[in-house]
Amino acid sequence: MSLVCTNITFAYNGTRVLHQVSLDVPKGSFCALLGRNGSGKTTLLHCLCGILHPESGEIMVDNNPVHLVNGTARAKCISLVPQESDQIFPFTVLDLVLMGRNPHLSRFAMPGAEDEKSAWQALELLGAAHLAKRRVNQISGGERQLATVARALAQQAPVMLLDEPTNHLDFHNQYHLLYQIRKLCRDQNLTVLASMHNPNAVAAAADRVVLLEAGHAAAQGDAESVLTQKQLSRLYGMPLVESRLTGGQKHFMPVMEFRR
Amino acid sequence: MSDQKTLWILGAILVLLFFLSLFTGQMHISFADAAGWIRDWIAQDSLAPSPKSLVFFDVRLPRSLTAVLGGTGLAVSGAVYQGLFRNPLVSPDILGVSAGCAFGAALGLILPGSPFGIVRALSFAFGLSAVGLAAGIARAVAVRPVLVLILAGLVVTSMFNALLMVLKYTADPYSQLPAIVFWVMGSMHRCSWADVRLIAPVILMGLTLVHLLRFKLNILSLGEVQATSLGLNPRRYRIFFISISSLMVAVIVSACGQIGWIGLVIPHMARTLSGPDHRVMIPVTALMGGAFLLAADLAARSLTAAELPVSILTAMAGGPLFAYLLYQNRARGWI
Amino acid sequence: MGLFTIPSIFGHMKKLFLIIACGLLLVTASRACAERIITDAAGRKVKIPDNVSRLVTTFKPATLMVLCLKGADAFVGLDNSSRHDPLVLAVAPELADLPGVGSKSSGINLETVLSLNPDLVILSYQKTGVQMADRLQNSGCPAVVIAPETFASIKQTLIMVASAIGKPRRADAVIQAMERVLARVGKRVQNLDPGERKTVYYAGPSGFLSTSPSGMLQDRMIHLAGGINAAHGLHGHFKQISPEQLMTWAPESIVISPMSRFQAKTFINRRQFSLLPAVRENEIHVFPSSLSPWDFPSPLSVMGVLWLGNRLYPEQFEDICLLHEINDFHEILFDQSFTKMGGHLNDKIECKDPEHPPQNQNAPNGNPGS
Repeated sequence: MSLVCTNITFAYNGTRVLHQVSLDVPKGSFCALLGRNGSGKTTLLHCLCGILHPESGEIMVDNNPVHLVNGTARAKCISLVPQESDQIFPFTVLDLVLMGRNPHLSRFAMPGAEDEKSAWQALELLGAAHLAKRRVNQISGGERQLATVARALAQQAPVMLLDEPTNHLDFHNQYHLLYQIRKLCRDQNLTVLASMHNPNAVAAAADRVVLLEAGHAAAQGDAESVLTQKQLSRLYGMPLVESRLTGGQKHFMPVMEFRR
Repeated sequence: MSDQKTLWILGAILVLLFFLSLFTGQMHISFADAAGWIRDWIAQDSLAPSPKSLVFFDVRLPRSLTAVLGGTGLAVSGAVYQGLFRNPLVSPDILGVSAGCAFGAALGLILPGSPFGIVRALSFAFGLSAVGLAAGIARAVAVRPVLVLILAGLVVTSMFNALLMVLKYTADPYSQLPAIVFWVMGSMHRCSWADVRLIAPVILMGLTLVHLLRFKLNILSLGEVQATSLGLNPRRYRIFFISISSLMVAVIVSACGQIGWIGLVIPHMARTLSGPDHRVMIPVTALMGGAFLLAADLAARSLTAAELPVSILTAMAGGPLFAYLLYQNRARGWI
Repeated sequence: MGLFTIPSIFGHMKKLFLIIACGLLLVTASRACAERIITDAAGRKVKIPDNVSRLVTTFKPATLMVLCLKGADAFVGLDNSSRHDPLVLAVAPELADLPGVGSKSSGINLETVLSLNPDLVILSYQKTGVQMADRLQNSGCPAVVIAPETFASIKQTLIMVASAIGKPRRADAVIQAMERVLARVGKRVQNLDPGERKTVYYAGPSGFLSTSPSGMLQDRMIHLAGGINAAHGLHGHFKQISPEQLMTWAPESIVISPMSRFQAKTFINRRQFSLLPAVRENEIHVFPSSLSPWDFPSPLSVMGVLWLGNRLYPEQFEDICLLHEINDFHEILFDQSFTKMGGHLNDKIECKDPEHPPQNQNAPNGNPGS
């Protein structure tokens, strides 16, 4: 299902953070949200999944207005993988993933066999089934992120939002995670919007890109056309050099003398 | 050990302790006596009550029931608060319920000529108003709701403790002051069927609701952001859980005085035994809490000929137990 | 002319010398009598001036002691609660206007005490009394500590305080009156068989389930009145007991401290206690009086013994008019009778249970009980 949001406006204590942001993520595509720190990426994601309430704007998932429905119905459409958060209680990975089934449970219901099956399936899709009985505080950061993605997957929401998913991950885990998400887009027709920091990883993994500059959607479109040296230099406020790798993928480096 | 087995074993321990408490005490009552009464009751022979039957049915039975209900209520309230506030060091007193109850009771004990029921009523009323006050302060501040709630609770607790000190200062040192001191230390020796009739509906209702919603506690313990993304309304659930827990704690403390450590230690013991998943942990906490307070009360009335305040026993057992649990869990990453 | 011969002058000189010597002796002797040395309850030796005209007491029992010894005019300051006490106001109403120096539980204001420039301060042995007394002593203020907890120590305290305020004979009068009362009671109960003696449960001031173990005054009072304290097997200070313990003791009589009167009503009506002999026979009494509690350590405790004996064994006390005895005793102590001071026994408690209507509320021999 596609995700379309139109004219989202949001202010924190009188300070306007998002100015009429509109974006369009087609079904089954991996859309990356690029922007500097403080440009409003997390705010936008929180507005989309209902944690924050924008002053104005519409959010449609496959032409259904999710900005008007209650929390449970919205959670069935949109799932969120937040930035790394501290776990107070050392749940098992399976228990954590099982929590993703909550939107499908009535108020007093407990997860049943069907829900357990969904949870296992989610873990298997990500190749993380071996982590099921381990406790979240005893696994690595990368494995924890994978578990959180599995939870969002178990929610069976057609749209998944990821907030800086590769922040605390090492080189291997960053690309491993992006690869898994890409696979989900392809195989499960999952619509993904992920806020990212690294244009090179975006160039490798994403179909579409949205550039967020100080709360404005400065540019959006498919990755090839948006990821240009001119756009990114302006976005990040520093001169960049664009090159192309042997596989055809674009690559960007800042113009800085590291070795003098 | 599977969760089902754990629950059965704990349930068996609770039932055993209950029976033990019914047949322990200064008056010697044997199984034969009890069997006789049950026989008479079935045969519908209304025999005149004897001192032994009065002790059994009017002293021990309500007291043991109060202990089970009280322990269960306090322990589950503690578990709920720890999950809600995402902090394993939180106890149900954190929003000021106990301090408010203690103040209300002291007020009742000082007012001249007040019948006993006034002490209970004032205690309950002030306990709930303490929570209301803390919630009101938190709402007015309206930033970072969970943290501010804890701070508001601290404010309200210290305020009521100060007021309690004022009452102690003005109390008659020969009669009212010792009565206040003993009440605050907590004891179940005054409990009767009237108390059970007051406590039981509140506790049973509270326990049932918490039990039905225990899965939501898992999700709430992830924090506001994640709970919302998973379809919950954290604010509404917070209000609900705090109300239920405060009601339970207020009704227990107003009947029995302040009983410490149960709300803090029992949830930890339950987590150590069966993990943090509230689907299992809540029932385990309930059973353990009931058994713990029952055992402590049994000791309070049997160790010496006079009554010991039960808080002394829960603290003396609870403190070292908590230290031991901290030590045991040092590798598991609770802290 | 014979008066002034040399041997007669020498004789006069000798007489003069004797007169002067006696005079000197008298002067030194009287100067030695201008101060007395008292040993107080903590064993401290305290020098007290001969004439105590500025007296401060710091807790109610001390104030009552001084009033019993007719020392009311020496007061310049007293403890806060005595200023509202019905007995104090009945005996010496002017004391209500004197400054209050604090109380035993909340602390004594040292500055207030010193500002009154007392000749003598009386403190309690409990809490920080001894330290406070030493501090006062070091500031030049004579301070004694008293501990009237049992009959023996009440008598010692009377003697000591009487001597301290300069009225030693008053103590004798009060002690004699006390012993007369106790003797009258003793004569009537000493011939009771052990089987006739009633078990008594004393419900203490901290609540219906608090009681006095052996060693406390109330235990002794019950014994002197011919009863057996149900809690005699316990030791120490006031103790809380369980309802079960009370039912095991099964007392034939229950006497309640006036402070616990209201709480007691709730408890007595409970079904648990309906089989207690005391409840069944409605032998439930509240310690008098409306002026001061007779179950608390003071010279009036002997009145408590007399009253208790009368309530426990009315047949033995048929020849005594209770109120007359009470009035006489109060006259000796306070120059006013009990009834004139507005005192009532207040020893009845309403039992709301319709199954147990009040039976022997009025003593059979027409004693005007209250």
